[in-house]
Amino acid sequence: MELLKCQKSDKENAEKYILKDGEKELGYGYIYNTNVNPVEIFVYEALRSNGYGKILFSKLIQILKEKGIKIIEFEIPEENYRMTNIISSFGGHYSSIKNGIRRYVFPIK
Amino acid sequence: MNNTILKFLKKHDINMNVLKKKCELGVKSSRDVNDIVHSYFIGKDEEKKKVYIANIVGYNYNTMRLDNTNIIDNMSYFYDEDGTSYSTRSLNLLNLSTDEVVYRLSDSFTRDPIYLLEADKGKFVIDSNGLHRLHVLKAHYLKELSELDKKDTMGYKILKDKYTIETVVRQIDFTKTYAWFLLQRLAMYYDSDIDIRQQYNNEGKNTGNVFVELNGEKSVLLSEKQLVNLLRNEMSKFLKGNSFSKLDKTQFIDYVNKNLGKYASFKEFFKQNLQEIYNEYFYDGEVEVN
Repeated sequence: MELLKCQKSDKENAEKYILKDGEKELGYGYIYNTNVNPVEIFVYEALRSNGYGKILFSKLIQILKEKGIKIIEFEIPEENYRMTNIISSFGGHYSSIKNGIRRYVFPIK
Repeated sequence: MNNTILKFLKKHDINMNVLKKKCELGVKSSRDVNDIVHSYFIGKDEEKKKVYIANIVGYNYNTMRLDNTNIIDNMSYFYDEDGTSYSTRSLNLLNLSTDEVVYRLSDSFTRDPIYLLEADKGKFVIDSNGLHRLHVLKAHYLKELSELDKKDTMGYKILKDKYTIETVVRQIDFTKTYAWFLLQRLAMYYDSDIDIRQQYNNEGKNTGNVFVELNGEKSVLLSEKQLVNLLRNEMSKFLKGNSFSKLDKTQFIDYVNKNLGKYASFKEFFKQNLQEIYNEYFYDGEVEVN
């Protein structure tokens, strides 16, 4: 599986990346120039529950690490358990909650 | 209940009729356990902890669109021979016998920890990792529990020792959580909003201090002691001052009193940190306000 950077992003202030397995696209993600929610991921619906979200997330975090970023935060609605599980599984600390939005502190190691 | 689980129950002689009669099969979310903590959670750094499986009371079933009435029925979501990779990846766990299940999983508790969220004092829910293992362990545990005679205290002890497992726990910071709850409640009377965020160092470790922000404006950094002092002062000002009506004050006291009766951990926090206010307004459940 590889992560490919797109030449152009469809979102402002964001780099877009695509996760591929050979010729097959599994999903895509964004890296934003911000400390809160700098990483966003999307796995195509039919391909979910296969661990691709974790792979995509980990590859994007690796890019942030290579950029020298040490610590980031996430604010995720608590019902988005897939994303909160991914963040926790990679070492994100559930810090607090406000109005149903969970806050995570994520040291990049 | 799918065929995978029916086969599992038959293989290990787990009788659902007996379980329903003798055991608590319901699943609790963190909100079910303690609504205040769920809504105002402020956590401490994670720590490794041995937890008795009876105290792992559930998980946030609502976000997974699962039922909360029967944990065994919910196993079908996690184990399905005809399902997605999520429900087929751990099917081998269903083959483990009651005698060997904890022993055979013990390595996994350190290699791939079960992550718990403390929902109230001594009560935990699965937060992110460990749902597959929780279900299979609970099934065997409930089977063994249902076979015990109520008077068999030694049997209960052996069962508890067997099913006390290594986990990683995100613990509640009760002082900060309940302080935030009360400050936010008071802020409502001023049509305001309070936000509290923890301070972290460059390694992502909690310093113990918090940033307190009123109405989205500049935040102030406070230690825990300063936060409690702030709460004490604001509560005294509200209850003893002339800015609010007797009705407002009574409503606030009634609301707090209701929660003091509901959550022992809240009462403990209140008496430890707001003893004088407790004695004056909440002592022995009698309410007096001027």
